[in-house]
Amino acid sequence: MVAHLDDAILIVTPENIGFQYRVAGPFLRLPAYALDLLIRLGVVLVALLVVRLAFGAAGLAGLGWGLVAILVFGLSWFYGGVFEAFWNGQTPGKRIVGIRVLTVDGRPINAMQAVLRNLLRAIDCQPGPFYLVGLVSASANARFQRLGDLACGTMVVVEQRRAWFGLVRSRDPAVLKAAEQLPAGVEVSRTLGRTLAAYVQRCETLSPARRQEIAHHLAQPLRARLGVPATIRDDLLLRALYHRAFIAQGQDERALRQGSPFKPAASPPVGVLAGPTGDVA
Amino acid sequence: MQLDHTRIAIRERSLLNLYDMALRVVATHGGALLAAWACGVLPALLLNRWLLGAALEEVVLSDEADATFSYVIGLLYLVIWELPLATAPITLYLGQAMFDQRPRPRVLLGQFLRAVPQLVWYQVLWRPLWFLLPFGFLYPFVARAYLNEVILLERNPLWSRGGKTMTTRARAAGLHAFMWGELFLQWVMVLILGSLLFFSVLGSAYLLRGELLGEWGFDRTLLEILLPVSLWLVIGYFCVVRFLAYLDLRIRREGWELELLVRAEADRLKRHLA
Repeated sequence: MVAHLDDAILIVTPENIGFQYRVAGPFLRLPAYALDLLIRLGVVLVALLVVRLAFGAAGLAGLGWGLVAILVFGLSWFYGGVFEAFWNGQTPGKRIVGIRVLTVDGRPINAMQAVLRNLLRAIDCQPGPFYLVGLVSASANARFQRLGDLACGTMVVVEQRRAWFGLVRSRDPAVLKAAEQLPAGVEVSRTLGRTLAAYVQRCETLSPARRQEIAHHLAQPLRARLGVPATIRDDLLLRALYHRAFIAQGQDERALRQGSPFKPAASPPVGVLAGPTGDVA
Repeated sequence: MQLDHTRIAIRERSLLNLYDMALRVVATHGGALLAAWACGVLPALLLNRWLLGAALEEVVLSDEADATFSYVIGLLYLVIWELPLATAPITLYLGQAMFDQRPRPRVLLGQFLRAVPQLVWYQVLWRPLWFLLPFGFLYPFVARAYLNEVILLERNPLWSRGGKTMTTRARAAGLHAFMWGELFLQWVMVLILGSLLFFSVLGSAYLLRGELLGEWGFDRTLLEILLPVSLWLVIGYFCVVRFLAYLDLRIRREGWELELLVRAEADRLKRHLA
């Protein structure tokens, strides 16, 4: 099995429940960081304006500048930490961009982790303001953790809404007619089922010529196995087989796509299309 | 080769996601990518040193801002011109590494040599001509953003035989058609992030040199070594980004991930039938 390079990581809880997260790397975090920087700058500018107008007029300019200095210090060191502690791992920038800080085992971070990972940003941004330490450390691990994250056992994940398409019911008469021409009792293997499901979900976004080109690869061996007439186009054959297996015969496509284990048939029925491992649905 | 077992997970990604994935690719294939980078970039570095030797001497001797500006602009022109050939080894390596556990240097060299005529024709001879037109400089970066990948990885012929085979030119036109707006925005993003990254790398190198050796000047070493090496390092990284963006474009436009899945399943069925 070839190892995948991916930004998706699987976390298994002590209750043996698996969650898949997509981790956010330095470049995905950059817009959130820029937004937070803008917000901090905005707050400082407003404070400066207030000091100049209100404190200056009252003859308390010195006190005003002192308060601004405290504000700048507080924003620089604790803006991220305080927001992440109270907003469940998010700053305003992170909330807008749709990312969140979690612990490496998928739980919400606590206040200590929130503050510490933000304080350690001072090391991550070295040398100078160039952030090369953070960039290199984030590149070197699969969770894109900078030093602050490594020290606190945290990571930044993308909040995503996964769309579930469900079964695709074709209304195309040509597909329905082609499905009727397929042999009775046809069942598909797990891998073929996944491939057909992916094809049917995706083919509407492709041009007819491209669909035909892709479908041709699989249609050849399918024709040889099923004895399908040549009058049925390659694209139509794949969609008809999907319709026949999952709509007309009610084979569980969702289970196929999730890769659930299946009970192998005692003796393969007529027209079963099994892979080399014989993983018959 | 198992077509649905790629070493980089194939799916649609956002542009920033591609930049992050490129970091992972660089970290995972660091040694091999550095070797591929050196194969392409070292000749370019030496050529630029030779071509800009006189301009560099002028900068060192006169210490004038104009001379420095001319040197930097000259360097940028040369780098833009050399970029497709210099980054070809990285693209070829990544193309192999997508499926093979260990790409073989001899295979990569053979692929590179076969692609040289087209690279020279399109990228060395034709490409500079676009810079003579108003806004023509955008054409290679926007309208033919992935021409290098098409030449190196898809290996279409330069000329059509009997009008039936897809040429590189036709393939590149089809791949980039109706995508110019998006590709222009991507190019703007590359400029912004590339500049940030370049100044980050150069600034870090400058600070480290200053702290370790006590040399803080705007001197010969900075212009002759740190500046071009930083530039080429960032270009090398963006070559990895461009490769991933090319895959992403093929996934979105042509259902490439679907084709890999379908072909892998067809192979399984054929083996089963045999």
